[in-house]
Amino acid sequence: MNRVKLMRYGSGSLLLFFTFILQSTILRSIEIRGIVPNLMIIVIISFGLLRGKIDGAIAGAVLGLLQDIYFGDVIGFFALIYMYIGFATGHLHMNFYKDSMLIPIGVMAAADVLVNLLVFFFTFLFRGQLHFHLYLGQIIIPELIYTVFVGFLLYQGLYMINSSIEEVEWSKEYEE
Amino acid sequence: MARRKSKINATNMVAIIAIVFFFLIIVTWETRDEVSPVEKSIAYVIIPVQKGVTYFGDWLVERVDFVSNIKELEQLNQELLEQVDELTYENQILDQSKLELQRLRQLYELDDRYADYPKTGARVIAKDPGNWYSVFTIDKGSADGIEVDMVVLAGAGLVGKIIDVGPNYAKVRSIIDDNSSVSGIIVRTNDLCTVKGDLTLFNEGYLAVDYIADDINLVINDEITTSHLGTVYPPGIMIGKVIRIEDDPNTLTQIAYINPYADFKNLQEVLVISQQWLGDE
Repeated sequence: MNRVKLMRYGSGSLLLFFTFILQSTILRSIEIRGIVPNLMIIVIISFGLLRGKIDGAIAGAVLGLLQDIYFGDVIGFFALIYMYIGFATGHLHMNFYKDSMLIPIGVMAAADVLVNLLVFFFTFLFRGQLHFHLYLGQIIIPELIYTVFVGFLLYQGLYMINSSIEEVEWSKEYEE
Repeated sequence: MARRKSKINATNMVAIIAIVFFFLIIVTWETRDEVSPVEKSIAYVIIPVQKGVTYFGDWLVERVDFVSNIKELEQLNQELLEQVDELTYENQILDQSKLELQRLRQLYELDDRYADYPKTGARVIAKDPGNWYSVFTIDKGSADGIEVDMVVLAGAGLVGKIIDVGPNYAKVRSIIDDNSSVSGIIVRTNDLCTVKGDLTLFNEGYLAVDYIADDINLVINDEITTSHLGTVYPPGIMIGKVIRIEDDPNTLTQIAYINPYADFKNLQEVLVISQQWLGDE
């Protein structure tokens, strides 16, 4: 049982670690007009949907904290948002057919827009940057489209990884 | 099963952690110059990996570019060789003028306004994950003598300033960031201005200069450098060239858009002026 747990949490932590590394480094080379997709949202949503609310919340908190520590102005802002996104998404775990793509895509889109609206609200609007339509057209919508597109591809990969881990878990549980 | 039972507590657990995060936001709201031990210890794991991945990514992109652009590179090489000849000649003349200038300065007891600042090279290893900010990290930190508020250059132009330093990394906020504003001077007319980063111009890579009085006769290609009024940036560092001028009908002022000298799209190596500038107060 222990080795199975190690596999589950080990692979989870590695995935989170490399998501952050990729997002902050070579993802810039696939930017389109200065916009990069948000891998972190994709991964957090996938954790929530495929593994439940606790794993979703942990994934969100860890990725959010890393972003806050390395790039944020304050510590806790993204951690708080991402944790609740993972946690809320986790409530859909068990309640949908996991091989359907509609719910993951919808949730990713909603989460991406929500995060960007919050960023705009708390950091740009507070400084008196009122041109919401410019930010909407140049940042929020392009990032939404790009994230959903990448999320569509990535979710299938994550889904397969998760199924193979779960298969091992179930077979081990059956043995005992 | 044990897991079913613990689910009741999950909401509470998340709420408690949320309160902790909220508290952290308040604590770090004003300042966070001190890099906490937690941040430091994570840095020792994250930074080397980021470095490796970035080096690999840059290398890969360079290979691909090299193969696809080999014709252009040959032509570019030719042009650059010609330019080197021209510049060498100009440089000799400038050297002579410099000697003369030094002599005259001594004569008039003037300070070197645009002295050579000590510089350290550094490599960009990571960039802000999102699309809202233009903050990046470099691979030199307090161990290499980097301190907060040091100035970062790339090529001939101003890139930004250090906002946070860890043992083996430092965070740089670039001047195209929406939060950034730099006191500048229009070289030809000697008028002061403020150069602001603007996210809505970010994709084009331009900077905006607001509120230029209508009577200033600005023309395209005017050079803008940092002014002597800045407290962080030393004077005389080139920022960029004016590429577009617009009238703002509401405030009866002009807005200029400038093209920065530093190439923000492909920042790989930067120079850090390893000396803090203390403004004239």
